[in-house]
Amino acid sequence: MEVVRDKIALLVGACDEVGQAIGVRLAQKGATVIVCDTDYARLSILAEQIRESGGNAEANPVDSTSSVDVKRLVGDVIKQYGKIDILINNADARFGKPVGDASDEEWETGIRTNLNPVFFFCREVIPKMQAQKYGRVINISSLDYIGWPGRSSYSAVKSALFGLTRSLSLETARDGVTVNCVARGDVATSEMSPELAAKIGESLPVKRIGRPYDVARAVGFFASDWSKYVTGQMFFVCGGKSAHFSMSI
Amino acid sequence: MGIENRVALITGSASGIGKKTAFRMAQNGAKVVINDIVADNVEQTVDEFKKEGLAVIGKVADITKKVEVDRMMNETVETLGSLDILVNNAGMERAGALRNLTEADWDITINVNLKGAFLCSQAAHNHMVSQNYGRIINIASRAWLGGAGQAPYSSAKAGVVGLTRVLALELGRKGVTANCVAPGLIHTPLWDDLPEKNKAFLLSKQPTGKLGDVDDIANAVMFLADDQSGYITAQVLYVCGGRSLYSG
Ligand SMILES: NC(=O)c1ccc[n+]([C@@H]2O[C@H](COP(=O)([O-])OP(=O)(O)OC[C@H]3O[C@@H](n4cnc5c(N)ncnc54)[C@H](O)[C@@H]3O)[C@@H](O)[C@H]2O)c1
Repeated sequence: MEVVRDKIALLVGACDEVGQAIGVRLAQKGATVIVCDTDYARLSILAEQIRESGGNAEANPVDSTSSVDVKRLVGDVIKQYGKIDILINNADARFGKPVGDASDEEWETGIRTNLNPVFFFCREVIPKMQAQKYGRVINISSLDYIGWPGRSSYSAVKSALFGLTRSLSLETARDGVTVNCVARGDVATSEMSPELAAKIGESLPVKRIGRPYDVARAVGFFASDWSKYVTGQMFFVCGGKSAHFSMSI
Repeated sequence: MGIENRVALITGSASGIGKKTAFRMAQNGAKVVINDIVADNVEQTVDEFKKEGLAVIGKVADITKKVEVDRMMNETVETLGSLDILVNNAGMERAGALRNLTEADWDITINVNLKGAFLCSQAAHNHMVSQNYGRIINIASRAWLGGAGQAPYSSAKAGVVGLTRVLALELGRKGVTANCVAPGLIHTPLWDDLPEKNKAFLLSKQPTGKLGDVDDIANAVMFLADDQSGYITAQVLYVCGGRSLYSG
């Protein structure tokens, strides 16, 4: 199957359950995964888990809302490993309010936490990928980009990822670099009650809710050599929910 | 895990993309059915695969004929015990300016690309639904988005995308997923025969500046055909080097 052997992967937003599943999957398939997030304690546990299951991982905390800290982190990784082959932007803070109730600060927080980090990491990492003529960038978006009542700022930020992905893919197309978006649909996490998970599952064409692993597998494809001719795409892992919408093809 | 021991029927697999996809699936442990309308090519492909020690059988059928399709699917299930993966790959194109296209150009292009995918999906889904498992992968084309001179082909491939979404919605509850792979410019023998001028023109519209190869399509098909891709359905996976974003 698809492999990422000897690749160096930078996973940003590693601590949520989808991030963890991506880290485990990439490590299983042979990559060294640098897991980044704000919480060093949780990162260390994740890195330890990955190592225990036979993979290579290192925890490196970062404040991804700070371009200075992002630059520092990317510099650290390059110094230690000499390259970055795979960049996964998974930072995802969900928020939302009816538009009349949203403050300036909430709008700006949405952009600062969900969009700025993707830009900062792409700006630091992509030129290095272009220089080495190899790279895989995967931005994790959400099916909510399609528009959801009470979620206007979240949708706006997640839509922005699509434009960013497409532009960057065209910019790097001749350099052996691919840039794609994986948009997650409904995914059950351990915090979700089984009743709610079952109810959501019943509403989907496949009659079950997604698991973090479903997203991680798709990311594995886009991170590997198997997808070398795939770039600029938005790919949905959503149990068929996107078939209800017009913007999803 | 993966596609091991799954029965996979790939239409139009005595040539090009279908043949390589069938080969890779067989290498990865699937029991493969080679289908094509050209009997000699089916025989030759089956021989080639067998020489490599791969599990393969051949079925000659014209996928635009319901009786032939139904017979092929039934015989497959009788011989191999099930039908788990269907790749609707057989396709062809009659291109030309609107005023030059004939009714026959339209009919054959729609019949092979669209009606064939419908008939094969319809026949296969009975078996898939009864076993609560199936993977349908339709080979559409980036060209479904529209291209000058491609009226019948674009229409047929757009139809394939619509069909895929319907299959996904109808069969999802039965453990059957349906997805499209939409290739862009892929290196097949047809390409080598093109005049240099045409090649240069086509490549100039390609963000990567390169062709894809048949393995790129085989990889995408195998990703979607995998046991573990059950949460992916109704999607179009473009394997086109970014051509779906940009046409220069
Ligand atoms: N090659 C490309 O660049 C490209 C690009 C986009 C999409 N595609 C699509 O990929 C698929 C495979 O294309 P290819 O380039 O490998 O073509 P190909 O011509 O090499 O192979 C197609 C096969 O389908 C068979 N076939 C035709 N009519 C049939 C029928 N009625 N019943 C059974 N078999 C039939 C042919 O005999 C042939 O062996 C097609 O659906 C095509 O539209 C190809």
